[in-house]
Amino acid sequence: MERRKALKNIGAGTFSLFAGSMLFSSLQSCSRPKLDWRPVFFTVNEAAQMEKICEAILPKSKTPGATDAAVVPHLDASIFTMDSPRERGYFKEGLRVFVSRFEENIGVSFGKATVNEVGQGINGYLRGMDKNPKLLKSYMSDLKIEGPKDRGFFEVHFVFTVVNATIWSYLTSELVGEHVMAYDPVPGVYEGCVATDEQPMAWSYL
Amino acid sequence: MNLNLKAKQNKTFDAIVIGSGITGGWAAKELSEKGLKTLILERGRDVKHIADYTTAELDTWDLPNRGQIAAEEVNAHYFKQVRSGNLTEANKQFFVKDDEHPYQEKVRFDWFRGYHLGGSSLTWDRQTYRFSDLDFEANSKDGIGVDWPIRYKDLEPWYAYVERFIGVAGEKLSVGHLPDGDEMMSALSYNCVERHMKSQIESRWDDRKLMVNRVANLSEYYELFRAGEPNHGKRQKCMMRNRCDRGCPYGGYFSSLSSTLPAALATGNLTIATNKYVTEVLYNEETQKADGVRVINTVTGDNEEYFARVIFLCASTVDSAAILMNSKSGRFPNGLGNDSGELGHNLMDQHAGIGLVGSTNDFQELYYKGRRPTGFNIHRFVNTNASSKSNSFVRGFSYDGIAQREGWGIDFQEIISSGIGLGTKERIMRPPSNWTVRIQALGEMLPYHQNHFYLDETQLDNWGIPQLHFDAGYYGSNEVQMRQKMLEEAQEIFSECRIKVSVVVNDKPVFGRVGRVVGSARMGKDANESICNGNNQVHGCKNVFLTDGACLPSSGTQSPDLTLMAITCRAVDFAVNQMKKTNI
Repeated sequence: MERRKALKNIGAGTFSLFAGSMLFSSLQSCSRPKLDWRPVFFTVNEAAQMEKICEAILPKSKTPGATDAAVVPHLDASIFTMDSPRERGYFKEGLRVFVSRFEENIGVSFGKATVNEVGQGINGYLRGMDKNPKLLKSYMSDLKIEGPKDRGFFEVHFVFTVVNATIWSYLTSELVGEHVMAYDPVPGVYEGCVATDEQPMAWSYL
Repeated sequence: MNLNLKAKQNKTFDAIVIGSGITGGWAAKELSEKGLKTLILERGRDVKHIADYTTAELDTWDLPNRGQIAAEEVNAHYFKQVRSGNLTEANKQFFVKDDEHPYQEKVRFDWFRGYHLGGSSLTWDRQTYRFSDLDFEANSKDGIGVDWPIRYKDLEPWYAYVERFIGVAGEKLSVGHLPDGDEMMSALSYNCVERHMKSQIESRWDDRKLMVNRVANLSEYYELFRAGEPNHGKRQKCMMRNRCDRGCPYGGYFSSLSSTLPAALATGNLTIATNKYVTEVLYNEETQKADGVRVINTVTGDNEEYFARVIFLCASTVDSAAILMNSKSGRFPNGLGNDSGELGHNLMDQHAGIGLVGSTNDFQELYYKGRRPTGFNIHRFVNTNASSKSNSFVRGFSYDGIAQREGWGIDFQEIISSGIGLGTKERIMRPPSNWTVRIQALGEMLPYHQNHFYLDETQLDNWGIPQLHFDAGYYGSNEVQMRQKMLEEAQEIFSECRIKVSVVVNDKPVFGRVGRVVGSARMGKDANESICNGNNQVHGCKNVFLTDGACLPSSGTQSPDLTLMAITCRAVDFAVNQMKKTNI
């Protein structure tokens, strides 16, 4: 019972935590990301929501963001072809729950939220997991069992899955792998003791 | 009549080799170079060296699923091969589809294999260690199984012969029970953490050494190493890409396709036939020898027969024994050479599932360049002499390990602590702060009669041949006792090297998981206890030789592949001498 309550409250409290920054955030652009590609797994609306979420996880700076690295088109195809029907269903329901609870957590509707505010929403969940490690453990156990799931399950599932998948997609993208990280398809040698200042970026994932 | 005679002549060779993997390639090379018209029969499809390594040049983002295999594809085709944990989108073409090549298992038995020209020589771990008399005398001294009919001195010249041809990069250690090669290429480099571990281990213990694995990857230019000798496969140095399991377009590591088959083809004596599923050795009751083999052409479905004076079984530990089981006759109702009833029995695989993962805060100022295609080895150090004798078990174990500072692992716990956003994005593209060290123990397994497989007449494969049914999951008290020590010593090593343990792996072993499955048609001195003799001749059928992993009477703690290559060369030499003397 306590665990379920904790799961339900995982996003609670974030409103007050981030309320102070909301005024500032609301001054930032909240235009909806344009979708210039056709999804196969997500609906157009879901894909647009995902664009905002993934960009919040890995935002653009001097280095590319998730949108630059085409993370969402990749996840759209990847979830469609790689995941089982159950996993696909969990992901969509997780996205729906995340978006529907967003205003309750952050104080602004998802549609109007800036990328920065979406990031605050995700971080609120992560902070909840940090405070209560049982949340993630309970979720991992529940994941192995088929059957009805509650809202708390889908919230943890979505945050856990979308963060991991976004990072994975970003690091394995051509843009990041070839042009941002250290790319060396044919090293020719192995040297096991090289000064790190000669190598500020990690080797790309080959 | 004349047509039939001509057809038979077209299908008659001096020698037939069944299988084109590590041992089959060697048998074909040696037989061809000794002047025999040789036919190699490969069950699977043709693979052209370089041209058919279709994923070798693809980066992760070039692969449609970025290296992963869809759950539906796994469930449909790779539901057993996937257990290895090594199956990827980039190497799946070198593993069988389980729905096309089914087998039965009473308890879980992991049978990883690839049916194609080159076999598992394309995907092997390339570790090349010699056995020693510690291994060859073990069964005799312990009173377990059957005594090896050969000793180190019998194989020593063949080890040197094979090593020189394949090219072994490795360090000479002067460890008596893990003999050095005579001529080895320069070893692959340590990284800073491994060098530290080596120093700590070797100063704390007199009887332990750490080295980067000896591997059949070329660390030097082949032409310089073998000056004046031909490089038929046009092999280049290893480019440190660590993509060996996709096939190497540089020929940087030893495989049948890069090495032995080009040499055999250069003689003009070799014929390669693919999609030929050998089901049976044809035993002649009058001559008490084999006439040839029966084959299913897997493209046309036709039955075919091929004939030769000598036959080498090199189809793999399991498949060679299966062919013998299928070769029933009046003289051998239970399978060719199986007077002893040991065919299919005494299956072994090194037992694993014990290891540690840890990290060190040291060496943060040091990183690495290149992707070395192997890790390190800590050789066996228990029961090697009187002072290291254990009272609770016989034989021993070695460790495989690696120290890495790879930045691709996503530690969700760290993300939870730090949150997402700009800081995390920049961090995941930097080298991780710590080096990670992993080691796993590989324990020698004793031969147990009850670990076996048999032909399941109730379950037929796609060609109507009985499937194999494995009943091999027994581990005795010797393995159980050894496993405690495997974990304790790993913890000691980590402690001595100041590696902080983060994960302790202490899982039950899974048979076949290590992929060093041997036994099932062991060599021995007595036909009542074994399937082939010390020259690898199948008992009672002296022109059939079996030289793959099936012939081993014990498993050792090291990779068996170099030993199998040496055994094959020695057996070919013996066979050809016997043919010259018209003894076979």
